[in-house]
Amino acid sequence: MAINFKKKNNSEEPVELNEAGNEAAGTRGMSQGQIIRRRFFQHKPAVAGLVFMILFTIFVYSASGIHLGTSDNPFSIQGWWPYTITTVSDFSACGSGCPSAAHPFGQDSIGRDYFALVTRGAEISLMVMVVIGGLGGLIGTVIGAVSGFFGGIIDAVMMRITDFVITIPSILIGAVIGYRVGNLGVLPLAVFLGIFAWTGLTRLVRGEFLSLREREFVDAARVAGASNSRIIFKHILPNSVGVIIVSVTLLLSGSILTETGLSYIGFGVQDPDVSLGLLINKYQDSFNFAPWLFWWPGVIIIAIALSINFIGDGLRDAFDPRQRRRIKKKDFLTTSAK
Amino acid sequence: MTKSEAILKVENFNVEFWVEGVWYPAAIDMNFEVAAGEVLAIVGESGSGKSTTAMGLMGLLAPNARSSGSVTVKGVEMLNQPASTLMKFRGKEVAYIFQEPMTALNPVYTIGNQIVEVLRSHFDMGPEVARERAIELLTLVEIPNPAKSFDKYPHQLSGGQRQRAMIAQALACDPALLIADEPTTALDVTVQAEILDLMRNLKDKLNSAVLLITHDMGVVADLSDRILVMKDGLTVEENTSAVIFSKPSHPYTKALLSSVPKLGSVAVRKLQPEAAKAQPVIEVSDLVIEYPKRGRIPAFRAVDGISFSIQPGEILGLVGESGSGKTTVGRAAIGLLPVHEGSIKILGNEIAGASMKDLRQIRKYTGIVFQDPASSLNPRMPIGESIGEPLFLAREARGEELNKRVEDLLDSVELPRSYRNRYPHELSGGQKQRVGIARALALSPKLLIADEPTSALDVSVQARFLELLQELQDSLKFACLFITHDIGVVDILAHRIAVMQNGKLVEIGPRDQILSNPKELYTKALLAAVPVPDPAEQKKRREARAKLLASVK
Repeated sequence: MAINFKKKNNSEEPVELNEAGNEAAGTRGMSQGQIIRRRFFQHKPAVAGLVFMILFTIFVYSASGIHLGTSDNPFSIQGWWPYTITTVSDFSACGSGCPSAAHPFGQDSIGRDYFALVTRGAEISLMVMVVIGGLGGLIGTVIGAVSGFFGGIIDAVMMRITDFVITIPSILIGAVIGYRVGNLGVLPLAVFLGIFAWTGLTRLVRGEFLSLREREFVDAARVAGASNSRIIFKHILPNSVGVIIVSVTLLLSGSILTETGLSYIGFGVQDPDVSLGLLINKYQDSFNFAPWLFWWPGVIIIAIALSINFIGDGLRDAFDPRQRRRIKKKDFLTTSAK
Repeated sequence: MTKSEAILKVENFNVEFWVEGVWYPAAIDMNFEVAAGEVLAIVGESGSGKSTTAMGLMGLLAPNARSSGSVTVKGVEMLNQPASTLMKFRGKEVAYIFQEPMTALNPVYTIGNQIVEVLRSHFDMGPEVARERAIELLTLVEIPNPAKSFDKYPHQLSGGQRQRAMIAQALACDPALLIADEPTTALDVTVQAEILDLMRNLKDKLNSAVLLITHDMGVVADLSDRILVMKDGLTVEENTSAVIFSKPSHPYTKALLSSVPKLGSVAVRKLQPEAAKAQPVIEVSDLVIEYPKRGRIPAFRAVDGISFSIQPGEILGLVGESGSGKTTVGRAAIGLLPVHEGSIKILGNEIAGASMKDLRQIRKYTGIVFQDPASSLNPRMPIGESIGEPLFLAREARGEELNKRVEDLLDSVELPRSYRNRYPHELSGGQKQRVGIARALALSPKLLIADEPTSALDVSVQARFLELLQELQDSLKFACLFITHDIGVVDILAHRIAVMQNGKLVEIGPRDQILSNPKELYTKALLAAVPVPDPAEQKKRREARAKLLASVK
């Protein structure tokens, strides 16, 4: 009869830990950040996503080069790929521009190299995503945190501003900016969209802060001499990281759509420049006669979205110390049949 | 009582939990019976498998559990039966009283509504009849003004009244078996005594079998006929109450019995004479604290003009029921609540109206241990960092030195150094509370405020915890304001005791005087409510308490 049973968390004796490596760490103190980093790198899909994103970004930017500035005043560094998005070349052997040795991704309907178009599109989509997600995430977290933590008048004023921003559709913002200042190119547009993309996150973060600031560990930190900003960023924020990551992940995927929509009505990315969303939009009808025009941007969007989701998952698990492997039905059945 | 009368019969009952690929036994080979009108108490620390057993009997276990053996209620097999069979029994033949009435009652329905629901789902009963019966039940459990309480929501009732409402709900269908899972753990001592009185009366009236689950030997002495002691899923000892208390055979039972605080069992602790002349560590005079009015709710005066002081190295026990304002005093003393009137001086520094900067300075001399260790530690911070935070922020130590200080603190509260990278949820309640102490003592404070540090702990863990606190106090000589609702706890620690009621100080004096010769009626009632782990003695005390309460009325 096994009497080794020890219900976790309740016995006064040392609790056996099933997470490998913790005991080996010995008495060396580790900060919150170090433990989170270690847990993140133990999460295999997240690391795979991160590695993919880094390699993919380097690959895309080096292939297509860096292109900034407006159409009148461009700033470009050419990449290693011989074709640009404006070079029109003869169709390869199969006539309709199917993938060949010279054009591995094929050619579009007027003979432009599709690899050049896709890498350029990915470059632009990545930039839009990072700028909108980063700006939206940053502003949303800070405003939500401040408003939820301090409450009272600060909260009321900030929430009314948030309400006001929520009522303005982002398409309208893009259109007005496009109309008033002309087409500035993708980067300024992404910045403007980012400035208006924080509202949903703010609400969620504020709610988390409202409930977390009543917990005793906040009082304990205050007694220990922590300042408000330390309590906000060091104590409460890590506890609301789950909400922030889920929301920012959604924001990132959503920003691809926003950018595509704006480009479609004539603001944002304009010909001859491309983005992944624009490419898919343009070639959705060519599925039957030139499927590569549809598949390449589609696969790349899916790969980006998946990696971001995996990274988000890994971050959330790393921040949440309670996260454990879930019981699978399969394991349950095999062991119960002893 | 013959065997045929047994309402609940448990044979070879096993429960196992599937954790990370391994089956862990939680209850092993349980065999027991409960007859009508009998109270069987299952006693053990948390983690001993007593609650698991109770839940397992009615198939209320988590999905990663499996049970085997045989459980019969009135001769009908209960174990691993389809939900439709169990439903007929749950509520009707078998009723539960849960530990925490606030979470076990649905906050969006009135308590009357919830009793009516039980009645109407088991009997063919019209709403009017059900209402009458519900009010009858509320009368039975002695809720004040039952007809009015019928329409009250759980949050409008006090903890004791909520527990009464839950008992009324459990009794709605005259169950043959009543399972009470730690029914008084969440309650004050005085309320606990009332609920125990009620349960004893009801058991005689209804002739139900009662399965009482608890960790508190004092509660058991008051109520049970037979006792079953559990440890690590195994039955350690089973016998009648009288035998267990007078001649416990197993060492574990003895240890459990000795950990219950007994009033007046410890010699009074001497205070060094020179301390009495020194400047008091904390001086509270005419303190008034109000919670400001909110909308239509008027301002609430939680603390109303109290004065006391604590000398260096002295422990003052502040005792009172919940709602008496004792926690408010503790929080104000460390500047977490604004002082409305009066003054609090820590080593001569005024807290009332102090700026954030001054407060930060004053807090270096003070530490606080919070009531709920689960809530007072940041769940996302390794405990080593939690302990080191006061040192880090006070710029006392950084880097390697901080590391060393954290290790020393862990040593002083007898936690292994390797625990420093663990998160709070990986520790037990007692261990978490030790972390709380280590953090409070990080800056070697002159004053420690302990706000009910043991109320969330098991009795045996509590005994060890109090010992540790005493050792620390002996070596570090800090003054301590020990806040608790349990007079039995301060009895071990305190040099002096102050009793609070409704925001006012009822009585303050040396420990021996308060315990042996209390002047105020309220103090006497509080003392009488502490259960003693001895059935005969407890019976005497109970009668004495009844007389005392009667004399008040």
